Amino acid sequence: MSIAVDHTKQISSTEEISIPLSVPLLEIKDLSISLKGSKGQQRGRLVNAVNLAIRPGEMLGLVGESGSGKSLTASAVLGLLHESMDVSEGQIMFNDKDLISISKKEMRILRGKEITYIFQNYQGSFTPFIKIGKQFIEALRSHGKITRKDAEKKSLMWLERVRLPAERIFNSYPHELSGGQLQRASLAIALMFKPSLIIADEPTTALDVLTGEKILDLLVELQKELNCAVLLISHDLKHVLKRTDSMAVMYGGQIVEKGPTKTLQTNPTHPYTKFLLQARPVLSLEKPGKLAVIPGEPGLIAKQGCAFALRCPKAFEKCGTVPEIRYQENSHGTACHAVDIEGDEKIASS
Amino acid sequence: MKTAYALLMRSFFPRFKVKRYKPLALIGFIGLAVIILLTIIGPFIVPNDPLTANMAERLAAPSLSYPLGTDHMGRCIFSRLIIGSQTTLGITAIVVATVILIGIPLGLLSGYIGGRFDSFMMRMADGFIALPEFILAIAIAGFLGPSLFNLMIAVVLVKWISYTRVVRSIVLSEREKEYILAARVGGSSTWKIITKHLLPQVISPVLVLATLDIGKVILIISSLSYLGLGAQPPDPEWGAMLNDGRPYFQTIPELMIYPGMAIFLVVLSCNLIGEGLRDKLDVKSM
Amino acid sequence: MLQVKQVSKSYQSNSVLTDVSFQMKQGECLGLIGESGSGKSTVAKLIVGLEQLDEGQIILNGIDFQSLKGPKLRKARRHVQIVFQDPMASLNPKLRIWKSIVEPLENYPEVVPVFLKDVRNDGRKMAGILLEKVGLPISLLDRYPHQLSGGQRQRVAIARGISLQPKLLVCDEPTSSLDVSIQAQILNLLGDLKREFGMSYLYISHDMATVQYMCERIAVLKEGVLVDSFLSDDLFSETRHCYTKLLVDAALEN
Repeated sequence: MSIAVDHTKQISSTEEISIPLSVPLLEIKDLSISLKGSKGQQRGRLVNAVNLAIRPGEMLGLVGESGSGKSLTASAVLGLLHESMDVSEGQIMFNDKDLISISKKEMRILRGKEITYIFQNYQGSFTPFIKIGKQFIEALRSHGKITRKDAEKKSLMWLERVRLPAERIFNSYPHELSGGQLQRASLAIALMFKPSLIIADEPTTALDVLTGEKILDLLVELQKELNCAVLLISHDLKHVLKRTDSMAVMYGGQIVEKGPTKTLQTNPTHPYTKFLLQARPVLSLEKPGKLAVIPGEPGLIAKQGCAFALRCPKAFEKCGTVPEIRYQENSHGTACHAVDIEGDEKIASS
Repeated sequence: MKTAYALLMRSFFPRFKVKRYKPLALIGFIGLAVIILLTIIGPFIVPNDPLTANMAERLAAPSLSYPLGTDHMGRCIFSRLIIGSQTTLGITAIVVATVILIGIPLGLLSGYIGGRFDSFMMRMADGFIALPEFILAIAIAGFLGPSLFNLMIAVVLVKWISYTRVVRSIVLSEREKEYILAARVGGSSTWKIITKHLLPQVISPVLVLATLDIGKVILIISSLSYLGLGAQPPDPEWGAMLNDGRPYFQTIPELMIYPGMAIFLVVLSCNLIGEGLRDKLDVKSM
Repeated sequence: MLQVKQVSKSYQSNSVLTDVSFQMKQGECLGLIGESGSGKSTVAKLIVGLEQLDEGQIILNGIDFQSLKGPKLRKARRHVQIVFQDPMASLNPKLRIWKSIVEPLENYPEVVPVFLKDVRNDGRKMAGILLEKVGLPISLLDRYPHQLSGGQRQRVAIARGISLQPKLLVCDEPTSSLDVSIQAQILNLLGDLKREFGMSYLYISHDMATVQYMCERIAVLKEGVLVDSFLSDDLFSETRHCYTKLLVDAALEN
């Protein structure tokens, strides 16, 4: 399982990936998102030429700090971008359909059935003064012909599958549930259509540590069972490292590194990824004296070229142009001029 | 308020949008400035003494010596309007200032100290709010007897409570914020927290409330004067002038239109300024 | 230095803390870990005097806060300062930041921290020195909070927290609303300040990894009860409370 490889850009195309390539379920191609009405393509770009692909059944993690554009990317896939922004370039292919060019009506049919989502804000997933059960039934009936009775049966079954006391939750109002219960219920509503893709945007950020862990465990378990793909967006590297098959790291609207999660964890190449991994305290017996620190705030984004250049210790003149992703072994790609040069030197010396 | 205002504006400017009223606030400022200027220089420019009755020329049409004609006592309407604005605007200014000076401290104390003082204040507020402002003002002014001073007391009594409540609700939401807690931990006294941290937070909303309220206060004052509870004859005051013109409404409507227009212009200017300020200061929900 | 003895607290009829006791030594960092509703923020508020306790004692340097009143209590309180979680809310939006920083120093004119000895009468200079201590440029003195980033605001809050050179700094989730890279900067800063001033920290968090990194000892709070307390080197010990083990598992990456 791996993220898609753009073959035209691949250097070592001979080193094929061990897992058989299947057709990606979702393929984001050169996606750029800009503020509407901003003149000049470079200005106001919030997401810049992002390429990502998810295969059926894969769990892809998207990591980044605030302002990295990870949530915007997800909103674009769902067709839920704020009205002040739009997709200025690129395609989002989902099962051979370009989600950007399809009509709003088609999108609405897809969303909530083929592509479902869970958000950080679990309160927002349900309307306040309507019982959970009624909201489940309405969701089911709006996406296909089903009798009230069958819909109720199905709702109860799914509430049970997310390990909630089904009957009681079914007859409760949203405010009577805890955050964890609500997030489980929104997981049930997201899964009961057996979608092929779930977008989970910071699903545990508002929850307690242990509750969040359980939700993610449940998500992984049910994902395996239904064989659906998951795009897990998180600022918490721990969740992504622990659970995803592959991951992509974003900074300032660009993807700086992507590849199999294990590879990125043990052998990160982009300075930003390396730094992210070292900057957080990790449970261990040997404490480091100091955490790795790169100066500047996450909002410090270079307007031209590599977005990370202003904070990067390895930055040099060439970083004024946007680096392209270059792939090393195993579909592990990095967008960094400095890394490219090091790699070239290694090849030259050997 | 906003919709009515937008509708009104749209009847003059078809493409008017509620969002674009920064220039309108300026118009409001200019309007009010002109009116205040007239009030100040009024005594030096009026063509006639506003109190001198001339029964020979009662209800005269506009002429060179009486620019807007005369009223039922033969007094110059133009002069009475200009001089009357001193009473109307002066009383309004005093009332609004008093209300702010009472409302802010009471609201700050009620919100920050809470406890019994707060419950007492809020029960009192409930009592005042249970009755419509205007009816209450009539009742108080009627009870105290007709005079300008009593009129002011009546309006202040009716109005202070809404200021106290606004200030109190802001304080209630601010006082649990971490900067207030940090100030307490840092050893700041209650007095310092109230004056240094809370007072600046309430000033802009209160200013907006006050400018939007000036219009209402003028209307109450004029209405009470119209009912004979405010300015006493022969003193000129816009509301009282409306009352004077009432018997001639059918034959000489100008007698009521002139003071009516004056009230309208001041209220409109104040509302324009108030809405502009509200946008500028980003004060929500008022 | 700090003794918390059998402290209980309830709001209306809900018991928030039951019989909580712990001690801290000078220069020590104690981590207090727990989930929301565990009462960890209530502990912080009790120690800094923002809440009154129902039962028990809080003793700082041998002085029982409960036995003091008025000016004496105020005098004792200055040894304990706090840094809050949300750097957006912890600074007055209408004040220039130097004024926020020196506010505690204005309140205690008699206190002269060593590092402010020469400039004790000049508010701006004091704020400037404090800004340098937390690694911010002096050029920020006249800014308003909204002109700063989240990380910078949290540094300003820390500058205010150390301005009286307190013996104990309570840090209530100081990094949980910040991005990873800022968290690293703030944690390093807190470490440096601790070494420089010999302050003690009561470090409150829900994140086991941060607490283990920052603190020598850890106390675990669950539903108002202190269930476990241990040296952070013994975190992986078999004798840990089962709830602690759960939290450790959740914080592990593999």
